[in-house]
Amino acid sequence: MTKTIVTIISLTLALLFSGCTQQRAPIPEGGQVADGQVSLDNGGVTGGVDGNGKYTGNDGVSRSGFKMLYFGYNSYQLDNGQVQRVMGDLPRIAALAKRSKIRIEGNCDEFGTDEFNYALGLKRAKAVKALLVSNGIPAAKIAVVSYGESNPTCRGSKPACHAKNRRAEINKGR
Amino acid sequence: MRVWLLVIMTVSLFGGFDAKLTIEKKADQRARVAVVDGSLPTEASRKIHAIFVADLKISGHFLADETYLSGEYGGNMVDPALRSQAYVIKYQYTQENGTNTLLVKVLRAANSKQIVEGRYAVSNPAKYPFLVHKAVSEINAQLKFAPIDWINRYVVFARYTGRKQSEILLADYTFHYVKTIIHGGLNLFPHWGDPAQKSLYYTAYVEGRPTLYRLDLRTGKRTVMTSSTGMIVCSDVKPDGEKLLLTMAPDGQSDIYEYDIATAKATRLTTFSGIDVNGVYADNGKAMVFVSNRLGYPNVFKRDFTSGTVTQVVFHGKNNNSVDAFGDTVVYSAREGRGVFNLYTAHTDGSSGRPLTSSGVNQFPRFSPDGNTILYIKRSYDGNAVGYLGLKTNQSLLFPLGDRKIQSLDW
Repeated sequence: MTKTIVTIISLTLALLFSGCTQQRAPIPEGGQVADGQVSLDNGGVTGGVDGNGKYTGNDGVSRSGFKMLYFGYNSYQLDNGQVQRVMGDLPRIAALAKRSKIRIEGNCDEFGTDEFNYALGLKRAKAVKALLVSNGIPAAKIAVVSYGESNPTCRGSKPACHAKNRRAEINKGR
Repeated sequence: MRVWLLVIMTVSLFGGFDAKLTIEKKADQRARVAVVDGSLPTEASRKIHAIFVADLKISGHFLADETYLSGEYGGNMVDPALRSQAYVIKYQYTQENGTNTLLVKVLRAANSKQIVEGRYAVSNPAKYPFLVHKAVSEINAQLKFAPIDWINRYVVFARYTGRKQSEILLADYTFHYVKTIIHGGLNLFPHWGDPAQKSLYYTAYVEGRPTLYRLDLRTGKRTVMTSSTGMIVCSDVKPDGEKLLLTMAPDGQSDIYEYDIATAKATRLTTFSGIDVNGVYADNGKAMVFVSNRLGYPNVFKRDFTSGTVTQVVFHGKNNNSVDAFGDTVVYSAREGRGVFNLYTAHTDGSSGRPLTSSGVNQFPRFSPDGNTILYIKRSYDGNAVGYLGLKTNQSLLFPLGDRKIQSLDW
């Protein structure tokens, strides 16, 4: 390497990405409906956590006023207590289904990788859908969607707060 | 300045892999190098110095002196105090008439002989880190070291900004350059659409329906690829760009599909009743690895495209929920107790690799295009950091990212 090497380069990075800085924003969904039951810190958590990681409180309702349904770690099984919460709301859910579609939203805590969490949230929503269908709600009336960990109701660091985010919500669909 | 000092401290604190995990310790054969700022010292020129040091360090070929030095750019004389170095890199950064220019030369410390000179320019001042990356990758090449071209690439990532709100951003690998390119609503799972990084795929929710878009970064044109009830994620793009591995749930059941872009046809690859996600091409496209809870917990499996056979890849841990692949090597994140996620490598034939980290929350591992470096996200009480691990060089770097939660990333 005795010879001086001269390199003259002009980067074209600006050209490469020019014109790509904006897009039309997709339709935002968050924040459209204030959820009066939502607590975004530990202060709103009234329940604890059972041995499976499930929230033990009876608080929490969806935007449409139906009880939140809670799950254990990595679980998408509705236990008896949660089934009873659904059954308590079933008459009102059935009435809603006659005049509107129903949307079940599955949610997760912040642990784990998001792609797995989105699938886990979907399984939770699907478990609730199966329960509703088995109780006479037409499957065609129910849509399921997962928000993974993007839609927490509690942002604190306590285990009960994380547990409160492992949930499914029943809402009026579009 | 405080932020930059933190970067330097972080680089210093986390330099090298977790010490306990560095099995082989060879005599240090890296070339010692000092970096001299020949500019009128400014905040930008000082940051450039630190980026030089980081680039040289992660290359694995240079032992860079982290001390900030300033001096004249014009002359080729090397300060006698730097004679113990193998090389001295001098640079001068100027911003004039809308052009941001970095002049660089490399001197052999022993005899002040100039052996490399370069001029790099960009119109957007925010992109100055790329000037340094380009300079260092070319110095590295001129000195006949193994290529480190990956430092010139963009990282694309999504981060949460609120409830059901996230944005997609571009960054250089050190995250000194960061630019939001998609915002409003939920924008998730960005993945480069081609090796040249001219396009990307991402997921957005349109009237509640997860929809996969392709964004052409040259034109800004957005194209709907497909959509699915429940969820849709572009987990990987075949190197030829013609097929995608998607996680979709058309009937509420998440499975992995291979999507042919030319025919717009999706072929279902997994049928397990539980969770199958995160499909990644492996074994040079002859198979895919993916994450499934078919054993009752998230773990890494492989599906051979010819036989259709599914085999377990990882025989360690009870919660392995993220995987990437390069050839027959996989890197995965394993949850090991409350709040601890560590990275490991393994091989697609089921043989084990090696641990890469030993503490903290380490997630989203991604191979560099040459397979020699792994990018990952490290979370701690102090916030997020992007980390790099050189598999051959045993070098590592961390750059602070702030406290917003990273949703996913690709590079």
